[in-house]
Amino acid sequence: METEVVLAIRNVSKSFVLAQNSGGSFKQLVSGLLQSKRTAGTVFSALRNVSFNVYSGEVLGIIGENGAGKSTLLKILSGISQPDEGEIDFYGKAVSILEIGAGFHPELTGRENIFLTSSLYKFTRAETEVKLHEIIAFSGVADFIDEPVKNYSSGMYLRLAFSILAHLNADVYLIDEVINVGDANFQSKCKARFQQLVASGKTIVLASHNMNELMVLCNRIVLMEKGEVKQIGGQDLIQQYLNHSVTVFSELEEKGFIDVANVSALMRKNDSVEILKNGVEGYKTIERGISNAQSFTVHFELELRKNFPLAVVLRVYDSTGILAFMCSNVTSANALDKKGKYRVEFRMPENLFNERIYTMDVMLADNQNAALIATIENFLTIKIADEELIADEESKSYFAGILKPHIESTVVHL
Amino acid sequence: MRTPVKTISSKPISAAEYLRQVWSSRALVLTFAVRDLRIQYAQTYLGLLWSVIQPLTGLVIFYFFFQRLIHIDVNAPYAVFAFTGITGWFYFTSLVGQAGTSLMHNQHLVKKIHFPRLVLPLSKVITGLVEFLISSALLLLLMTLTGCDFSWKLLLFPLAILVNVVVGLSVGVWLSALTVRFRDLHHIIPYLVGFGIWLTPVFYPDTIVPQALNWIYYLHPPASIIALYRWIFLDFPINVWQVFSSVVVSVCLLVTGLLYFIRSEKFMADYL
Repeated sequence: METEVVLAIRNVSKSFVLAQNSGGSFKQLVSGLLQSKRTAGTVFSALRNVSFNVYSGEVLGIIGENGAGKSTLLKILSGISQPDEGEIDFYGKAVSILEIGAGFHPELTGRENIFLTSSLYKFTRAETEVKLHEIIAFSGVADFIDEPVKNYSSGMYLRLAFSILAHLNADVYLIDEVINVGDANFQSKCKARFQQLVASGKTIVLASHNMNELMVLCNRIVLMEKGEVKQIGGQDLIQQYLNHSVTVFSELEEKGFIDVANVSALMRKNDSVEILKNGVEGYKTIERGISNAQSFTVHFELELRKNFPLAVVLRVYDSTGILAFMCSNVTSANALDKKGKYRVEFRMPENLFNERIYTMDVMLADNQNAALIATIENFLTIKIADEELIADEESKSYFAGILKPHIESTVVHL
Repeated sequence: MRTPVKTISSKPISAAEYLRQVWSSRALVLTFAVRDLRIQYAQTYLGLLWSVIQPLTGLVIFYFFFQRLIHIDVNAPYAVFAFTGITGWFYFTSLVGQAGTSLMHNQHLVKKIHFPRLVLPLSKVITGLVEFLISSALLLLLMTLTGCDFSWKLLLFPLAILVNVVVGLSVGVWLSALTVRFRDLHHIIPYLVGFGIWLTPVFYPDTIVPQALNWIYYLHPPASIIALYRWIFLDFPINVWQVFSSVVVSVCLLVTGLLYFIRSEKFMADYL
């Protein structure tokens, strides 16, 4: 393998001022104009002194939990966001794919969207013409290519979008967990396409918190934690990450096995809903974590500023980023659709969780037109301990699986 | 040691370098313009004809109010007089309104794909121009119908369009960059446009404004655009100093606007 550097990242840092910057109230405007420096807010350091090289022909995986800085790093590498400090040298043409179908417009036809997307990625019309046939053939939507994409099924939409991106000609591809699109058949086509790119000497940087199959392609892994490069290594790092970096666990243990972020501080201001308070109640702490034999509630106190049906959706992940389950208030009989203050509780039943670390996202959406208002990723981390496991010291047998629901078993002697 | 093809750093980019990037993305300006025109008239039966209906409706209303009811004397066929104002004013406001909100309306793109952001407000010059030219063709038709003379000054029309673009962009570029930081502006723009027409001699002649207040027009560039058009199409007298000061004001606004835009571009994705 060649060892030429194609991307040199040196001491990159980036911080955001939370809550303060995006609100933009009149008071802040006035104080902002009068003061030369940005007024104090919660400064969130998204990236701290990140340095590493990417070598030509390699497939580099960036892993880490939600909020570790993977997406911020990719945004900086793609030029969308500027670093506060540090620099990045490129020794080849880079294309960054942060979202599949980002440039698409629903009113335009598939063909028009192909040209629009590739020109957004700085490819000329002539360059696209050459690839046009290949792109359409790969996507498998040839029959509908002159239909507006708003009439496409979501699968077709993603397939076309992916085809365009997969056929952009560059030296380095920077990808933010977007590979798993379409059905199994299309996914294997995508994987084959990537293997083809790798075989032809292209460099790929892939960020993911899902340890998906494509990570198998990576020769080298950069593990990020809290905005810093924690470790750089080979495939074994993935396994290590899956088994949990010891520090994360010890920090969680210090906090009593449960770490709840203040959602209102993480949420951007908007005029339709505000989270006033959130927390977890009713749990029982035992020796190695929060007991799975007792139920607990995750609650939110919020204020609706407009009349609309609000959906509060919780997504519960295991530590590898696999979605364990989702739940929402939409199934509740009590309406959440008029202006006013509400308390929303999700009761997590006993005998559901396994002995694992789980993380939760919360999404707020307008349930009428399915418009997403906010997603607060990873606001809750919780270490669950299996009571049966403790009671049964002898066997020490762990149950496999993301969840461990209580399943009645009956045995009848025949 | 090889030299990198590109370097990203925390240092601010120079205006010259930035404009070079915009120039190399000029194809994208056209792509956005075509996209916006396609979308605007997608699934409408009348299509581009709507860009004619809008100014024509304005004309009909002004005609009845100011000609039939108030009998305002403009020293020319009123329809042609008002339509020169409407044509210039609509292009100006489409640049202010469309360019001013272009970043907000394309925030999903700004957050996910990198390209020089100035391309977005610039693309509105072309979308607006298409509608402006259709409106201008209508103006020539109106002139023929009302028996107006065409003079050699028509040759200066492209120059007047250039002034129109500069004046519109000077406000549009400032607004587009500012709305990213201060969302309130997004709500103010319609008012600016709505009230602006009353302060501008679109459907009334600037001669009805008292002499003592005439200096205002030196600082109100849209008034000069319309004065230019009326000079070209209707042979109205023109105050060269008024046009000159308007151009100076607009060029200053445009240059400072571009500098502010370039300076704030690096934070745009963070704020949106």
